[in-house]
Amino acid sequence: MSFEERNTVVGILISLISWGLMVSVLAARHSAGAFDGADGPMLWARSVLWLILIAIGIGIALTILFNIGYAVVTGERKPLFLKDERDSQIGLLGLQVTLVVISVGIVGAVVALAFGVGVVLALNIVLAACAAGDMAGMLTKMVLYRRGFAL
Amino acid sequence: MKRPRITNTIRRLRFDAGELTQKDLAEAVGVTRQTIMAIENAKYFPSLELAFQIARVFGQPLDQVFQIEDQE
Repeated sequence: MSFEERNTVVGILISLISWGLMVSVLAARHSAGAFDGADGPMLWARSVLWLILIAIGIGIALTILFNIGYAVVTGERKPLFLKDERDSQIGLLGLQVTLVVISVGIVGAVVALAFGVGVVLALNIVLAACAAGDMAGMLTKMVLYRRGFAL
Repeated sequence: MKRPRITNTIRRLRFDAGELTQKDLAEAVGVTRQTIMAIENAKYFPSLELAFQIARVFGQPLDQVFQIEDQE
């Protein structure tokens, strides 16, 4: 398994944990009525910014731990941190999928706003689209890596 | 328009070069072993730059390493 393929696997794991954390925290605050007032969007944004910072920290820690674990299990003395042209092309295809899903989510949020839903709900739609896009992009990369590539 | 099929003789050239491993070839051209494997299995078609680098490792002209099948 190449370095980038390993990163994709650990990326899926990080996404599941990070987005799971975001959903649980935001849902708990939402049910407590934290985002109901006029300053709801501001409080939502502050919560999300903190959660993004925590998610980045979790991501860095898990990536390091996963790569150390991989080196220990496989006994690789000199792990190869190489990204080549095939990795770049697979990365671009994954990014395309991510952007399509996020774009659909943004349009969905605008449509939802046009139909009178609250700002916080529209922001949640955008956030959900980011989560779905992130996961769809990484799953696309994983499938391409497993198949060798060829489209 | 149907995409032309590109084949290669890397496996045979590796054998002729004294069983050069995929890892050795990958290191020689600066890519991962998985990329060399994907190229050999026609799952990935390399850039022109990488194709020339692979041909150079074997000391062969490009068309002795990569072939394009007739579209007819």
